[in-house]
Amino acid sequence: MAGHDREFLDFFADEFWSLRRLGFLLTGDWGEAEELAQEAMARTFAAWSRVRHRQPAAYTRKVLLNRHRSLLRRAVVETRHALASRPQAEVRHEPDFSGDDLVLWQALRRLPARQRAAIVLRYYLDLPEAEVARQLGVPVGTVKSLVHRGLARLRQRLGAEYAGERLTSNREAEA
Amino acid sequence: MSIEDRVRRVLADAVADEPPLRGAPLEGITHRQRRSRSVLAGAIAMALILGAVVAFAAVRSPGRGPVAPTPTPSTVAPPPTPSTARPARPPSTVPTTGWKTFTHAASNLRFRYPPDWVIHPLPEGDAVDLVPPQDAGRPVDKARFRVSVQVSPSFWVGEDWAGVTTRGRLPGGQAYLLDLRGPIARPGPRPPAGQVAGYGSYSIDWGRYCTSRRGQRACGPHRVIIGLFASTASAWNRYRAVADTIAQTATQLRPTGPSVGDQSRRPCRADQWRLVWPQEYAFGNGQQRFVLQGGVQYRQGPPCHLRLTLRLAVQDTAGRALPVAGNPATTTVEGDLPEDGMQRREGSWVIDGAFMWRFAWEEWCNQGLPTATTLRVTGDGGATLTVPGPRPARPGSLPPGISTCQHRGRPSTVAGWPP
Repeated sequence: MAGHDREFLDFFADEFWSLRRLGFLLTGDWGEAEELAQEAMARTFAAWSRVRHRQPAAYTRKVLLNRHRSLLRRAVVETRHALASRPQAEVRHEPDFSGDDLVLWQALRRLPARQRAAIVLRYYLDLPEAEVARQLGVPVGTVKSLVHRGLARLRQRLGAEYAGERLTSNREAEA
Repeated sequence: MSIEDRVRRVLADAVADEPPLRGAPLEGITHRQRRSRSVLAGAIAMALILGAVVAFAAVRSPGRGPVAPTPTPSTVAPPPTPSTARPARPPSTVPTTGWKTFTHAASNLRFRYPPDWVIHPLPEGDAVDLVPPQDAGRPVDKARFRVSVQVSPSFWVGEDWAGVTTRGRLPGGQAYLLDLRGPIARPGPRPPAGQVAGYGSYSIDWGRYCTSRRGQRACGPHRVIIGLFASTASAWNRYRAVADTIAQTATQLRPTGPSVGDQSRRPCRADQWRLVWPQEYAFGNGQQRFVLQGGVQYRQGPPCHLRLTLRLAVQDTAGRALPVAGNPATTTVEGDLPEDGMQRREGSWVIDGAFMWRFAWEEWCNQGLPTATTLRVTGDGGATLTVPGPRPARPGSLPPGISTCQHRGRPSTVAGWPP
């Protein structure tokens, strides 16, 4: 096995699982997440000699995000076909939430895709806003807006508990 | 807690119970082959790597939080011997004099381990990793040998059918399944010395009891999963007996109810349940083992107890029995209704629980067997389920070097799972 291939194997072992988890948080479906992670890895492997010294994890993540976005675009066009061709009664693994956590998880899943992606990158991967902007290919101001609007929706879903915080956050956002 | 912190926690929790890989990367590869030849090379590499990762994942799952896998130099395992051909042998053990004791009251678990081994509690709080002193200075996921111990709320039988599986009982009486996939060598030229890996897992019946996690009380079946991971043959050979001994010392702090439920309940009537198949196939043993699994759905009536014997007949499409050893096969499942009934979530069946029934058909693609088959499951009271059998891949539909089930000249057998 060539040195580059061995290097990629190590990269794969280190990154595949976190990539799959990111895919799940974006799609809410472990099967789709696995497909996305696998495809992102395949494309990274194809470009390995070019990207291996230039933050390959960030490259792979960006491939996954782009792929997810293009799938969403295609889904808008092909919704009817996708629904018809999806395997019936596919087994899904769902997080075991209850109470407010369940409300929050469901609200996260219902966020528009770009808001959800921004929130996942910002609060799950703890990426700074500038890096989120690079990954999503949008200006930093757009990231701020996406995160702000996404959190506002989540607060709304959670109700009275976060009413005071909502006011504070809004004032901060306006300042 | 701020909304941001709460989002962080929910996102982390959402991926804490990561399911195993689906174990069918080849289909993805063939799809990509049709779409783009340029991606094929990478995809084939992915398939080979995923083969190794699937084996790894099956040992880790389910109910396990996000832990990076140990990088392994192996690529794909050669087809191991079918489980039915490997005699059960009690694991060898070593003396435990002077060993330390680990106790986790919430998990009702105690086990012993060598005093010079290092124990790493994992963030999930219900799992620990142990590494030998030679790996004490390494990150735990880079250790050459590692034993992981965790408690899971899933039913103990689970889906550990990737390797050679044997049944056993701990000294304390708990039943277990031991699934071994190691040492595993990559195919092709003889690998350099030490460049093989070993995987294994004990899935132990921990009975029914209640736990409280994050303020949520959960009462039901539990299992203890003890995983063994080696990145080299020498590590596997050196530490395997110690790891087996750690597993053998696992004991309960308090007695638990039987995992099959409350046998004092009134028996369930035939109209209180029905057989269900989640329309999903599973494979193991390098695709040579086809596993049919399904469940029992609660329909109506008062709480009851059900012990159900099921029979699987492997037939051609005209209903004639096929010449498969063990055909028809039987298995028994037992549990309480409605608690253990198979559940649907968001339109999909959840694969778990005391009523999950399973049959394994080894060497299902042998020459002489028809490509179109019918699997007929019947239960007490006339319950019947008919399922189309697995279909071999069309010749040429997969990339060169990647194969699914192949005729190997070994007998085709069918039996209830676990063996």
